[in-house]
Amino acid sequence: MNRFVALTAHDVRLSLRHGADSLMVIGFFVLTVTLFPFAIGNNPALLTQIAPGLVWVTALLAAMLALDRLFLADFEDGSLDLLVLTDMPLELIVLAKALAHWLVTGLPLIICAPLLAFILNMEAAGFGALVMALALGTPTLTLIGTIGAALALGARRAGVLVSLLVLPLYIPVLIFGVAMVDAAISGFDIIAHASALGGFFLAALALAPIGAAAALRQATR
Amino acid sequence: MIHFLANPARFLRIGAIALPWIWTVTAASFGVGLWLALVTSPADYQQGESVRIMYIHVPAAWMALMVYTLIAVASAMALVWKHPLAHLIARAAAPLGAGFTLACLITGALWGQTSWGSWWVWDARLTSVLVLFFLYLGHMALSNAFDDPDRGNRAAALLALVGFVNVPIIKFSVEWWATLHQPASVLRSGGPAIDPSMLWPLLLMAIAFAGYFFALLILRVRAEIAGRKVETLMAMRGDEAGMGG
Amino acid sequence: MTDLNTATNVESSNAHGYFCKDLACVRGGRLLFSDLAFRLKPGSVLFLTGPNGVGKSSLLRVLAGFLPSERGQCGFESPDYWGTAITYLGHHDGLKPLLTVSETLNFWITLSGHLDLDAPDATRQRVLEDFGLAPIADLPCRYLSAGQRRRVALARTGCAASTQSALWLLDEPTTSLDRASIHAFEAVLARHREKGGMAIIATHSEIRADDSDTLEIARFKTAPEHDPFYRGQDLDMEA
Repeated sequence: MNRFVALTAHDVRLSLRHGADSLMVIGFFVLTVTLFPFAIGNNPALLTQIAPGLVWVTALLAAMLALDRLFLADFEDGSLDLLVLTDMPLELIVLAKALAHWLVTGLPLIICAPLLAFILNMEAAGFGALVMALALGTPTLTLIGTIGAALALGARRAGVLVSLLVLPLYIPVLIFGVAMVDAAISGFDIIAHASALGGFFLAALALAPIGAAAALRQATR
Repeated sequence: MIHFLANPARFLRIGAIALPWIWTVTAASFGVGLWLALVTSPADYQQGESVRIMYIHVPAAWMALMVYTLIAVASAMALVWKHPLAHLIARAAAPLGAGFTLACLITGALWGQTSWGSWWVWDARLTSVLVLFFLYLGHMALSNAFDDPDRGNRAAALLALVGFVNVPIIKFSVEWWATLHQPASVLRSGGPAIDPSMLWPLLLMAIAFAGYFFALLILRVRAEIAGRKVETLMAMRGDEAGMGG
Repeated sequence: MTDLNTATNVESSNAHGYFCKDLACVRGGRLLFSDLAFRLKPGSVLFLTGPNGVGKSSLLRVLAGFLPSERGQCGFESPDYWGTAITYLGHHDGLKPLLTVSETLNFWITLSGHLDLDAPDATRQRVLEDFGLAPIADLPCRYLSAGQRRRVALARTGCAASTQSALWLLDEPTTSLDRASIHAFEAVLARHREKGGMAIIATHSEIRADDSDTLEIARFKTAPEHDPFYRGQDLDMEA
């Protein structure tokens, strides 16, 4: 447990010192979302209608931005070899890195989301559901992302490859996430959607580290 | 039998013998199947003639799932037992499976437009088949993304295994969720719920598609083996130039 | 070196040694070596020699557990888990540019939690001094020269010196080091051996160590004509 915390803290410290990761993700998120009102022109009703989907798609893309570097730095400088050799289970190492990644990219996304929903003229009833949906969904995105990042470790054009591998698996999360916000706006009960998102998270929590660890072992041969 | 076939030379010999027979069966099934499907089988009382899309759409869907299962099995054999041909079979099969999945999606969209009035809906089955298509694409991309081909093959094998969870989701999606897509009519407990006049063309088309797949698979595996031979020769030339650095 | 075929029965005092038997390794479609065998007694060091590309690094990676061997076994003779730690140092230093030297060492000591360090701070302090790193302990790693970075990496290895029969697998540990630093490394290595630790070191430079053995990997190399794995020669189309 101590080692898990140490590894997570280590990765978070590194990301914060670099500064670029968090800022890049948030920057992308904010800039992209603010482009839409300009693109759609003077049509607030349309913006309101598509706001949940826009926020979610942009959050998805932003989450994917930093994924290919999840293991790459460690792979290139030899730290991954050393991590694999400590007798900490590789699955736990993957979880620690996923947690660090989410703290640095997912959490800022969740915090920024209400502001951006406001810019997109989203109805107030959806704000709470949006935050909750992102809170449930972004950890799943990171966990699924670890598989893609581990599989494509060391590949040419790894960034695009990771997106290709990971986007199809993101689709169910996207569908339920947007549906949850739409349901809240329409006044329906959101418990079903929240349960689905929660279910995805638990499944990812259980299965993603296993897949990612297997992929990492192939990569460190 | 698996180990019997593991010797590539033997695989190639058997493949060469089997190939003409496979092509014959494929051609015959296509011929008879298409005749039955397009001419003699009845039109649907609701959908009219457009129901005949089923004779392409359904076998394509079956093939998409079967090929992925084949790839997953080959990947497991490659990773666990280090079967030498398994990686090559998976590589050879992936584009074929992607083709069948694409055919399934396109014919499905056409059929959906005529019977539901919509080209696409995000229901469970369509979404999971789309995910299957992306899994095929991902497999193909991963295989070729690394400078070391072995690394690419192993990563793609892992992806195939991880993505296998999608196959039961596709199969049972029409039962587990309320979907627009119609439930299973052929491969279900209780036997086929479809009239023989439609069942026979369907099965014949499925046999034709399967024969087509196996014929192409043998040809592609041949090409993969030849490719590895070329790599061997080039590597030998490099090594003959001597070690050291 | 005791060739496994001529080894006498394992004496109880040697129960914590390390052995390797019939080892074969395939890398990039080539059989690098086969039937490789050796045995290490506690406190001994084995130097791996041979030209580049012969398989020194691959052997170390097989022993470390990264690369599965094609055939054969390797492992500790110890029945007791606590004496079986492996420390590996490859070509890369594994340092993060924005972490200081102290932070780096602290992190890796914490992560190797199973090592029974009875005085981690004292160990780290001593190793820092051994390699002359105390003045730069608070410097972020990006400001270090190549030699300093290698010394930090060796210091990290040196911190893992507390267990009885830890095995060090070192790949070119003294790259970029000047004579004085190599002396420091030799001293740390000697201390490790005194406690019963073992080391297998691939190196081109000269590292002085008493009573060491040498393993020439080239002895175990198979000629391509006899290599069944050679780049998929098992896929012989003429057979």
